[in-house]
Amino acid sequence: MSDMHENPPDDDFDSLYRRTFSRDGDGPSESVRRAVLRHAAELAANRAADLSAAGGHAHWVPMRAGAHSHWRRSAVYGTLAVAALACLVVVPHWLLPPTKPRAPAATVAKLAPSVAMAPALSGSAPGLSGSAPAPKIEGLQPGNVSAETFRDRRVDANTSYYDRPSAPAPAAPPAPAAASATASAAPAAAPRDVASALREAAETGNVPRLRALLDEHADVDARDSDGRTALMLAVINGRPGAVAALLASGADPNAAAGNGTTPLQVAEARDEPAIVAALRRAGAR
Amino acid sequence: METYSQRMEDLGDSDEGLMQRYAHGDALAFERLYERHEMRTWRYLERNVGNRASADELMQDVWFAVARDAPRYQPSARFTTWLFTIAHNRLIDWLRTHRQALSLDTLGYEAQAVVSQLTADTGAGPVAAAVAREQAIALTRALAELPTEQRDAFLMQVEGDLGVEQIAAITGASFETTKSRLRYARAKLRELLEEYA
Repeated sequence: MSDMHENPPDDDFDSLYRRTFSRDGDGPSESVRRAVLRHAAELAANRAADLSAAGGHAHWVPMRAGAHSHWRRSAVYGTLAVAALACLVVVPHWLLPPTKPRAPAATVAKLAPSVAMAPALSGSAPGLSGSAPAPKIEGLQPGNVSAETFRDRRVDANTSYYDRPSAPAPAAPPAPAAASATASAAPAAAPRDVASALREAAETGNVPRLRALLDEHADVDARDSDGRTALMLAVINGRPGAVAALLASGADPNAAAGNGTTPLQVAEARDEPAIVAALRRAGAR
Repeated sequence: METYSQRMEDLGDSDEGLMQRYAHGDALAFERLYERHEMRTWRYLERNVGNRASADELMQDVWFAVARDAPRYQPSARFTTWLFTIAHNRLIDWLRTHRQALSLDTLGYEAQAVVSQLTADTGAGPVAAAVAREQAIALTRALAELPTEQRDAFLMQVEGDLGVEQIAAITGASFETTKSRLRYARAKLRELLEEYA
């Protein structure tokens, strides 16, 4: 994306190009469209069958509510059992004095009765959520690697791998408890900044920046204090490139501003045929 | 615990997410992807080859390749970059085979057909229609007069929303060469537009 910032496309000329061809209803013939979609569907069916046969995940079928309830129940109980086992093994490591030699697993089970686990677990939760510093746990020493590792992994799990599928997996740093709290508190402020940046990019017609922000999963329909979405700002400022990028990213074409005006009404009032056509194609009313 | 279906839904409706979903057998994800990029792919191909029949042929070829190679697609690359890499390669193969330099003569009827479609029923009054028609004719003619590499780079940027670096990577040209092609393309288009309009 950096190249695009270095060399921004000629917005005026590109606008002229898009405006000129805005009503270009021409496209591939219907037979091509049918052939492509049929071919793709056949390949998808084959892949789904292969995955099922290989014992992998079955083909993409959204689960119905109530379906596979038996499987789900097993999964829930299994998860709880694994979590309880993890607590039995790890929590005593946090609580044991450092001078004591590590007890064998059987002894650990005896030293950590289920009654003692409850406060230990509830105490660790605020540290992870960022609402309070992580509790000081007596006996936790820098050398107690297993406890640190366990806690770090839980923080990593909170930052969800699926949040950024395209980003390279960062090496997990040995985060201290305070740093973990700060890191987990950051996302609360981030969305507002990203949303503002997205609206600004839409307003100025900075399509490369807009796309970069959308790639970062910015909320495409976030509103400003007047209830205007990025799409509305792009329309108000006559930015067909930004409108196209926002619509392609799933922006709601009918998201009205706080005063009830829709993007289509603004585009028509501004006499922007390219934008009107793009909005209509996206289902604007 | 997150289910497989939830994970797939988490991949979302981004191009990259849809590709991953399609690679796992979700035909509807492909359909959405196709809908989203159909017109830009079509315009890129049609304006490069100058006739509908060849553009249809290439269009089918490109999207068959997208469907076939979906399992090999790496989401670290933007989908549009990947798509236009395929489209560009197919286009180059086609140009090598046909050795058909685009010109106003080869565009001929096709250009007029495109312009007619562009300017039909503008709904914006006769004056606006006439202006739009003249602009469309001028721009179509200007595009046809560009050297192949310049037109290719320009269309990739304007239809694919690709950056200089991405276009350079796709075409195998250097960054500076690509930048020059884009600059010359726009300068030439401006010049031709003034001449024709």
